[in-house]
Amino acid sequence: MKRAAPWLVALAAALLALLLLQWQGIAPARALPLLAGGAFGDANAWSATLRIATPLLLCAIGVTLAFRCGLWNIGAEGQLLVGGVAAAWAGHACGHWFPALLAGAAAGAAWAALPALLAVKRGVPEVLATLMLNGVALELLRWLVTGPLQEPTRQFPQTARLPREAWLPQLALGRTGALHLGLPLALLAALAVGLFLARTRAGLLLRTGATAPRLARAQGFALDRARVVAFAAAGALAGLAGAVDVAGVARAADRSLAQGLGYAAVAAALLAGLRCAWLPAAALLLAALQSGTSALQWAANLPGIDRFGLLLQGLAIAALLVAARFAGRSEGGERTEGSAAP
Amino acid sequence: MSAALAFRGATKRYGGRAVVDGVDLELHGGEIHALLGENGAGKTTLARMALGLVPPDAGGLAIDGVATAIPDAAAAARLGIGMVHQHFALAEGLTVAENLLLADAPRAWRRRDFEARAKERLAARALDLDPARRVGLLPVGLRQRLEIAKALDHARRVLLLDEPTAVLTPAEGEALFEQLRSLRASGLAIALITHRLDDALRLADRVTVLRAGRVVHAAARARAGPAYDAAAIVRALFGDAPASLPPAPPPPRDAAVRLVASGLAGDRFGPLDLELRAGERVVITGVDGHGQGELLETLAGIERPRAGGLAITAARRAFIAGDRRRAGLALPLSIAENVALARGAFARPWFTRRELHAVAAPRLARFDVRARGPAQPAGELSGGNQQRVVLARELAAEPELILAEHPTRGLDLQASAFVQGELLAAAARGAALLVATTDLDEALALASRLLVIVRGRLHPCATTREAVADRLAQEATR
Repeated sequence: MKRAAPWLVALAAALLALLLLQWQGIAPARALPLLAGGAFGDANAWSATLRIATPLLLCAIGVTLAFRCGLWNIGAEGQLLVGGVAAAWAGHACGHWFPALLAGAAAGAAWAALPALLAVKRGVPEVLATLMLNGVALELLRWLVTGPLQEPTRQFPQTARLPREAWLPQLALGRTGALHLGLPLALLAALAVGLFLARTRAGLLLRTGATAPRLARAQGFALDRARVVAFAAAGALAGLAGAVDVAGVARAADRSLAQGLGYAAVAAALLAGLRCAWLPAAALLLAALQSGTSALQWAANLPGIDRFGLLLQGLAIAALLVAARFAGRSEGGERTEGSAAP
Repeated sequence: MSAALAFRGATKRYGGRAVVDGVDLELHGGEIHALLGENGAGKTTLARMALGLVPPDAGGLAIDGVATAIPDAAAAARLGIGMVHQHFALAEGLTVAENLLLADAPRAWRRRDFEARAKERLAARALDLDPARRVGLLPVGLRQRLEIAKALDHARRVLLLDEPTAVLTPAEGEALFEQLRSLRASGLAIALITHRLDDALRLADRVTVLRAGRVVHAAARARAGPAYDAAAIVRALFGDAPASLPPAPPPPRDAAVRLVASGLAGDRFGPLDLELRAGERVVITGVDGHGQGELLETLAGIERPRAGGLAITAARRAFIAGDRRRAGLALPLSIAENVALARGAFARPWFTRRELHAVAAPRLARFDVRARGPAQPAGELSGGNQQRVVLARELAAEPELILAEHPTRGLDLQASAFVQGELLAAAARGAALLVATTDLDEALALASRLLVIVRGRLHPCATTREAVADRLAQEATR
């Protein structure tokens, strides 16, 4: 029974989702192919899914890095926003994608360093600080794209369109799809962070600090400084997510940049059990849900269009998290493990 | 006058072992009665009997001379018995008013009435607190006063306090004593459960010492009479078996100095001077909670000293933390990782899986850690094995300075002997050893020099049981 429980939960959620669709007048036999096709049906679908998965993965790596160090980074959303704006500015100013990525990462790092410093120096809970700064970042962006960084014609609330040289190199995928440099970057980052946590002394002591800060300090480790650096690195990854989205897909920054990706990253990180090796799969799954449901909305012409998609995604995420917890995989979180241990 | 509450031959057994063994004890109105004893002496079990939380297996309780059963907590409250727990039973997220009126709050009070009622209660207890203040934001001393105010709602007859000064600063402790004295004057019977001798001697009208569930010493003080025979109380606390240990060899006079502290002070200790030489085995003993934990953490570099200087001339240091779960081990990490996080375990800042194994395996083997494998999380091990992991990390690199707090706490005899043997062996190889322990047998077994800690100050002491007892008694009564 215990073993079957997660699958029963997942099954129940799937049934509930299908029932909701039925209620909307779409038979499961029609809905499921639409969902799957929207996510992975052809090159275009793959392209759409991977476009979402790439920044999601980068953010989720940042969230995972922070969580494993016992720091709660709920601020990927804001870090992504400032990273995207900085990248739009730098890409336009320098006319190349590389400085755009650098600027995005730097802005994300700075945006994350602030709550980290407050947490270390003043004991301000980083959960709250990062969460609040998300709102600040959104307003900052809103102001920038209607003020100092607005595009030259001053008609739209967005930054100037990036010149071609500032677009990320990409690989054509199907007729209209494309795969940009962000994806290999993100996979590389997952590998790097995974290795850092498991195979370096700093990673080891940062993880130690999550449950036993005094032990880490007793080894002569400057824990507070390392935590600020790790948190800033997490922010840099989220900032990079904003940058690759701007330089790889959007070509300009506007308010639609993040759209909850930073929060979905928390779900992805938990879904992967805070393990870097599982992050790409978790990000891909959540991204597929998103692209699949939007395809479904399109094809089925559902009312309340984005709301219904969100509902389906939320249901799926909740079911997956419950299933993962039953299966014991999300116990990779060292804080949860530490408190649950006898 | 018959006692407000009396234990008569009270006995409680768990699995055949008597935790409380035929205890006769009387709590009189208008008196403060100190119950002294080491951890596990049975003090708390007695209190839980009075609260109706633990039914006695034999014997029982009497109220005003009449044998009375206290079957549950509600009965204890009806009989006027209340308790202030060591770990406060307050809801930290709620306000002062909400905590005070939690038990009898009807649902539909308006906030203003609610707080006005709380204010009345607070005024009746002479407590100047903002009822709208969140309890979690109050300093510990005030939280305790609130806890007492709450307990007094029930405690019309008997008030039990479990280690009330353990969490207080000295100033807060003074305020508490003042309050307890005025409660005594109002006729309440007060039981002060503590292992702090100095508190008991200063405050109590009667002292009862428990050891292994039995009353081993009882004394009363006449109102204006002389002080207690403190030495007798300490002997009762620690047991008066004669020390039969061979005298420790004297430390080498010309040995290198490993640690010098001068005028070192923290929030709970000092200012104090301390010098430690190679091969020396200094043990700090005394009752828990007198600043020894903070002192060791300061010497280990975890806490910053408030004042004074600290010079350590040892490249390789070991710190065996008293709080194994939060400072000794990272419980979610694997055993191998816990060992390998030691200073200087790797030559480079990164390592391969094979290097991790190469560092951990011989250390784990040498300290005989029993686990499924090096990848098992440390949190899954038994206490004894966890301590072996700590030793494997801290002692494997032949440290020149070893700081250890309660190195054998919670371990069985065999594991304790192993740990003590390793510490002695390390000292024999030339390490300077500083141990803080409350276990007198351990102190005497390890020490070449003994220091007694009282209220954060160190006092030199001969390495015999009697000397420690005399010294503790002398300092506690000062």
